Amino acid sequence: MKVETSMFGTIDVRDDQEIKFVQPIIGFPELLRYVLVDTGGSIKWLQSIRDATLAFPVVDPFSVKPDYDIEIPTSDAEMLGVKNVEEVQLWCITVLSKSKEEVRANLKAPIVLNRATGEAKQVVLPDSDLPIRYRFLPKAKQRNKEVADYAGANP
Amino acid sequence: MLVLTRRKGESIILGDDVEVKILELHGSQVKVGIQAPQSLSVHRKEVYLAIQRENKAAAESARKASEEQNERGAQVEHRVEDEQTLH
Repeated sequence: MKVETSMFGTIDVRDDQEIKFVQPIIGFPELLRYVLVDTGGSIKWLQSIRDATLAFPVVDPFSVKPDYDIEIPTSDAEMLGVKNVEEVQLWCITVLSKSKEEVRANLKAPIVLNRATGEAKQVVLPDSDLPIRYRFLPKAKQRNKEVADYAGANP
Repeated sequence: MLVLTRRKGESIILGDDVEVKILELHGSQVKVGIQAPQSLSVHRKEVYLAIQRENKAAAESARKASEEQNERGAQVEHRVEDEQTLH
């Protein structure tokens, strides 16, 4: 399927590459279909299939906080049909900024992806003290450095 | 807004399948138990709003990064990730 995006132009997405949210990302009702775009840096892009202008920067929480440790609530795991932990991939929505100190990831509400089914959900960890705004220093992509100066953006 | 008075141990039913029960009272704090279908998400309001704000800030920051990159006429190397390798 051809997907129009304002960031990457027209991209080609196979059905098995589509990420299907079982509930919309908080604040973005009705948008359930996304695709993950890799531009080579540590930050990847969760691009909406319906809204060309919408892409969330996301980061693997373990790459910004190696001791990241969460327990996915049973109801969320059931909703996503997660059977074993190897199926799970976590992504944290990230705010980019020109000032590096402002780059931050939401560790309290990770996107939990069941890689076996392609289903995902932004899971709010109700009893965790993890920050919604966790500041980290993004690693710039080495090749293509000249366009990587928007901190963390990396394309 | 509907206002109801409840005592400890009493409940309120919303619709057919949501129950909100008053479990404990400690001064100005109230502990409530909520029973709802899985498809209904339940959040502390201030947490929900903070997450919503961060999500919007993230989307906005990406738009800004994308615009600046377009102004420079930079091409973005990219590939669509095979996230669901177990598919």
